Amino acid sequence: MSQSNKEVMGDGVMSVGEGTRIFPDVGACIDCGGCVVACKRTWDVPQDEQRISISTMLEGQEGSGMSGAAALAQGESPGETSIPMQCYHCENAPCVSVCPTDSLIKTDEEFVDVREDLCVGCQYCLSACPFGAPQFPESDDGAAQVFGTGGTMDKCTMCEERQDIGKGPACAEECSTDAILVGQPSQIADELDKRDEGTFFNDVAMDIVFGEDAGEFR
Amino acid sequence: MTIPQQYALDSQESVYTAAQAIDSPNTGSTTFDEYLERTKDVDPSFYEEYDYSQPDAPTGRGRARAVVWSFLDKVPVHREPIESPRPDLVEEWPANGQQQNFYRLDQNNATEQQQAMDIIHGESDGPELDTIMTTGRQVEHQGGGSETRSNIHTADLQPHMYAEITPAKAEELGVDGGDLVVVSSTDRGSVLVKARVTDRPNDGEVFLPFHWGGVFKGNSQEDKYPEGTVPYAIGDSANAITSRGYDVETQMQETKVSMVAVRPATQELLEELGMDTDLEFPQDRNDIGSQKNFDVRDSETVQ
Repeated sequence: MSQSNKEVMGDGVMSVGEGTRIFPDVGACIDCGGCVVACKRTWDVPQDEQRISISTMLEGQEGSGMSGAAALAQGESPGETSIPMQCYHCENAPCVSVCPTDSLIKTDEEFVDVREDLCVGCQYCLSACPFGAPQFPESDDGAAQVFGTGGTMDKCTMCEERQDIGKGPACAEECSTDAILVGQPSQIADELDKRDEGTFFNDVAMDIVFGEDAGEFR
Repeated sequence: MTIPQQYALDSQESVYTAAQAIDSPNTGSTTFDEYLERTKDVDPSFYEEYDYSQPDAPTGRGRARAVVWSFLDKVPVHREPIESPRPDLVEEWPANGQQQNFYRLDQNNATEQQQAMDIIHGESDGPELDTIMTTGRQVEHQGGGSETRSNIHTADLQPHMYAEITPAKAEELGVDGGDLVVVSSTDRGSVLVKARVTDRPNDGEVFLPFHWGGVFKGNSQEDKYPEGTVPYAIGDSANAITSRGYDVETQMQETKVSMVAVRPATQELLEELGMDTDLEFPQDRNDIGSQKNFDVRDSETVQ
């Protein structure tokens, strides 16, 4: 990357540790699948399960030439857009609210964590999550045997173990276009601003993901 | 840095403003400014039409203006591809002719072009070769794909060889995304691949990725792999049917333009071409990449 481009686009991983958030720069995502492969490789996730997956909308359509977020704001078509979808470790996490067994919690680091030994596989979180993060791999052991509901929930762990030793999440470190931003909400907002890119998600989703910090993005 | 360099690296400046800056220098040193005033030979009005700032390519604002005396075309000119949909352009810009001992080979693109054009536009009993085939990469795979197709994660992300066609073309052929189609070349045979329907190509064009092997011209080679080494995903090879052209300076093969016919893979056609009528893919058998959507008309968000 040349010096002049470097000034516009910083690294995806800006800081790690407590209060760190993960958020996509939708304009930068090229749907290469690097994050998907990095996640599966790092955590031995089975082939048919996606802790992160890229959703592509309006495939092959030309956009209006504006950035995706700007086009949406003006009611124009954003054209082909790819969004890395994963658990965004929401401030007001709907999955945590609906979980009947308190299997889902906000940890001290403010990450959303699933305590697998408490999960009964009821899939309420699947319905509650706006981003399709909870995964239910098929299983017939543990709680699934008692309740007969399939497997317990599995999802993005925010690579907490990696963060403990100062590394960014595997997906964000792998991303060749720095489309997965990791840092404090203000850092993410600044970086998107620097890239002249919007958030792509609507206000409701932003309030869920960032809570009061959503104001940083407006 | 010199003034042209400074201005070239600033995306807010243009060639015109750089010329103006050279014409009336303000470098912060009066002695240097006076020196520039005395030696300058730039007339800003000459550059007036270039008064637009431009986003920089990573390599800067260089332009190819070179004359290369040792090349067949001393300055770059357009040459029609070996296989072209436009005979009139081939007449105007024919391929270069006989080359002897070129990287120890003889080649004659003009002859190849004439032969190919005769097949494409002359009377023949073959199918009408009315579609431009372009081959290229898939971001998930690398090179011949033997590594990435043998890796469960990348194979899962991009599980099939395909021919990318538009919804209009699919309608015309009567195929859905995921159906097999036969892509036939002038005189290099045909390949058997899945149709992928998107809005990316033009109606007159088809795109084929080149990372595929394990099927050759419609015949599965799966049983020829040593035990346990069959890739997770196999598919027919696009390179089997690309045109015969080679660059006259670099010998780079012409993979971007060939004239082909795309036809639905009917039982009758497969038998005629000696292709497998019961082609089976290990990726389908093992449920790899089954989430992949091959038809944009299903209007699903794809993964």
